[in-house]
Amino acid sequence: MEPPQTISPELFDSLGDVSLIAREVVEGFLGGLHRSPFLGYSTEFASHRPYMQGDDLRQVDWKVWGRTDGLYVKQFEDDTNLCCQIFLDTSASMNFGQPDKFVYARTLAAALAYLMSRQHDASGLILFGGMAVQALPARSNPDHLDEMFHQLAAAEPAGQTTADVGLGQIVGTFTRSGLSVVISDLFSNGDAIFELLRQLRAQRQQVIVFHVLSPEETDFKFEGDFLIEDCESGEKIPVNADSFRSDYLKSFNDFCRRAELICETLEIDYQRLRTDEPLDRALTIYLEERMAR
Amino acid sequence: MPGLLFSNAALLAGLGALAFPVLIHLLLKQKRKPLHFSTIQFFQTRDEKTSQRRELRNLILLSMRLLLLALLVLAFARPYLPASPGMIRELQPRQIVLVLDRSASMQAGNHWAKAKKFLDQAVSGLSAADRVALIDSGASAEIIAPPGAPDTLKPILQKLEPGFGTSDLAAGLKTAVRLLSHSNAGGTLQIEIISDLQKSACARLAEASVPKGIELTICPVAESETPNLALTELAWDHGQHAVVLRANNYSLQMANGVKMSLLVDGIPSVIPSLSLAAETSTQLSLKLPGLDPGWHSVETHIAAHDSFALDDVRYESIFIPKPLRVLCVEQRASLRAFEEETFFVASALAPESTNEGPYVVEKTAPEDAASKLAKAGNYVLVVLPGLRQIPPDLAPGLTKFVTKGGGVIFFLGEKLNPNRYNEDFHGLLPALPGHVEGDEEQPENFWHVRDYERDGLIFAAFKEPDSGDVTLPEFRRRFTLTVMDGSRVEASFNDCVPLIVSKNLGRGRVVLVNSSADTSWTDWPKRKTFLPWLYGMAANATQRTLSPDAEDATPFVAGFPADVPLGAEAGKLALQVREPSNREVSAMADAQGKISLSLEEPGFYSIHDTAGHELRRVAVNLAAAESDLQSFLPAEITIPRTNDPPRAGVIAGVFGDDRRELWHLLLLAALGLVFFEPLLANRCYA
Repeated sequence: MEPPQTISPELFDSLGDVSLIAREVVEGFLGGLHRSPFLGYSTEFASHRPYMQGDDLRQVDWKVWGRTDGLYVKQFEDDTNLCCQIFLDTSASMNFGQPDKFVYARTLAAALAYLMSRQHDASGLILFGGMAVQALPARSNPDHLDEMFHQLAAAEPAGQTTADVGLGQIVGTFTRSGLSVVISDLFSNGDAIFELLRQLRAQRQQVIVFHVLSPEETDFKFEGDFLIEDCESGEKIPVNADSFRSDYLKSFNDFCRRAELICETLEIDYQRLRTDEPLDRALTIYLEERMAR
Repeated sequence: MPGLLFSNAALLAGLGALAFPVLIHLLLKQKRKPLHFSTIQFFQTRDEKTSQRRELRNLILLSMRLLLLALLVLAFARPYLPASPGMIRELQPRQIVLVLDRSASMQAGNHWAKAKKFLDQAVSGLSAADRVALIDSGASAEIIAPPGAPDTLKPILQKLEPGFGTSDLAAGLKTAVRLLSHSNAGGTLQIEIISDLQKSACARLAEASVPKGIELTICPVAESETPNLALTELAWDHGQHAVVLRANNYSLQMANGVKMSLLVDGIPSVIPSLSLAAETSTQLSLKLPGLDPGWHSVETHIAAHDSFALDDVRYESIFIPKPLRVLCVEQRASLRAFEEETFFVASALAPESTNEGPYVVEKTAPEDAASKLAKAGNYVLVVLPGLRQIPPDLAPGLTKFVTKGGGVIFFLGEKLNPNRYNEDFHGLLPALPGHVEGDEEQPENFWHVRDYERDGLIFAAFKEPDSGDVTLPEFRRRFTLTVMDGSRVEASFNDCVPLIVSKNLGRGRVVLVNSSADTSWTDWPKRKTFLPWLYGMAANATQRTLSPDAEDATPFVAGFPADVPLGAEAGKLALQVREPSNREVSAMADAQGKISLSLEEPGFYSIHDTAGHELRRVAVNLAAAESDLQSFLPAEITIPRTNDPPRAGVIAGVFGDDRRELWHLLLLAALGLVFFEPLLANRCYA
């Protein structure tokens, strides 16, 4: 049996094809889940009904026919009833780190889209950065996945995360309960990103937050004097990394704890991801959440 | 730091190393790397003050390191502070010489009180280890107190009073420098001049010089302006029988109606008041009343009521000699005096209108002359007209008289028998008469005086220009003369025939005039030049001048010791001197008849023998220069400073072991920085 394939940070840089990466990630991931309880979730058996003209012969349960000599067709639970929206943060702050946070987040979004497609779930894509754009509405047809990959490949990080009116309008169109996956570093102007989470919860969305962070942000292993420039606003601050490291880490961890606390309050599944770690954990979390629905 | 010196000054070049930390600091500062970061929200939480404090700490750290480096460099350069005068004063005992002006001007205003205050302050500020000397900066500086402990000077200062003399600060300064130069004791050297800085006292200060190793302090005591009206001169005018007085107004304001008084032997005379414009002087001649022979005291006073009273009085002593007795031999005594042959001579020597002349004339017949000379014995001069008859005892009598010091004046005449003269007076006459010549009917042949001894006593009165023309008198008749050996021709006619011939005989003197005593042969007795000429003749014959001796006329100044001449007859005499304060002092005249007097204070000094006979009265006055109270400011005084090393002790004091080394202090400070620097550095980079 092949070992579960993980994706390394270097791979994100070397592979430009989002779809290829997503497939590689998901297939590898699923391969590693041999005998896992997640198999067949998408073909959940419900009951038998007598064969009717026009039914697909492939759906005939031949075992029942052998025992009873009657043609019965298997009925399954609705396997496309999950509407999943992927919110990808395309603000300029995502364009940071080694590996790059945006590449990591885009890959994660592509992988999730592929996985959803495999499970016949409808998936949509919303890109939010300087301004929010609903790149693709939630659908489940096979061509939709290709469009999803195309949109992700074309996305570029830019702008500043704000509480954009358009984003609120997009969220307001969610009439069905579903699953929303927010992939972001949660760095925003004020509490705009947390306002998004509140709106999603208000729209009866089950939310998973993948808090994507780079090792530079989590560890801050810089030394010497730097002129720190904000990727979003361009503001500059002189900083001595050595003397300020402890203060930075304290402030950063406080932020992360606050985000986690807010998510816990909103009953949102919060997951912090470092860009130097594989995507397996993220996919596992998604599948657990999917199973729960 | 002023005065900071370095033993190894070349090492100061190491201070250039200070540039390296600064350079490194600047280079590092420029290398602040730009860093794009996802967000700066975590950096904005830092307190701006923290950044400023860190910058400040960095600057302090840089300064500390620079200071550390500088301290090390300076320490290796071995800085030291040379011993300043103040430091030397602290470290070593002081040798101080006080140069005190005790001149009369110090009695003006409150000069002396200020001077005493300066003295007390100077002495009270000294420690027991210090040494102090006191010098009186008089005309010749006097050491009042040799170097000694300050306590020994205090009783001297209590008794110290200002003097009446002048001051020469240069002399005092030289003495002080000499005193310090000869001192073997160590310590700092200091001279303090305490004076009113009167201009006359400072006149020679530029001639003095003080080595730089001696600290010089000037303590002025004079006020900015001290008005003064002074009498600066009082002199006896023998010819006018008067005293000449000079008054000076040194004030910037006019003196109006200042009362004056004249006292002769204590008896006041009324004289007009004095008015004198600012900064001017005037001269007054005050006629004196008739005075008896002997010494007299003359004082003049002014009621100036100014700040300096000492110069409001002036003294002068006058000696009126006893008249000299002259014996005129008159061979034609007549009831009408003008018919006498010696009328002009006697009238000239002793005018009847006054009895104050220097001569008393007695007339006698030729036959009585010898006996009078023998009996009286106090004649100084005998005048002989041309005698027709010569008494037999006259020639020996005259010879004896002259030999003992008397003087004889021979006139010639028509009735004279030359052979008899040549025979009887052969030993007396300086020239022998021959025969009479001259024609009164031929004025063009009259003779005049041409050559004469201008420097002799006979013509002394005619030395000055316009004092009389002795060539005007006409001589109608005369004798031919044969001048004797040893005789001196004092004057000659225009044809070189002698007019006046003199010779010494014994202690006396004989003068022959080749003319008549009356107007029979010459008109000279009718001319103005006759009187002074005759006085000159008498002086020559008697060898006594009527004007005061130049040595006797020397003014005596208070504060200056002087040798007072009393005459040879006073040699080795035991004398008494009565000072102005009426104190009697015993003294002894030297072999030349001089007596040394200190003449400390102004006034009259009376010198008399043990029998009470007054030999001399001396008037002593303030030096006129003391009355001018204008003074210098200390800043206006320039005293040359020399580089002469004062002495070894001072050199050691300035350049030797007394210098303060600072390197160990610098190293100590650097060591402290070495310990402190890591603390601050860790705090900066924590």
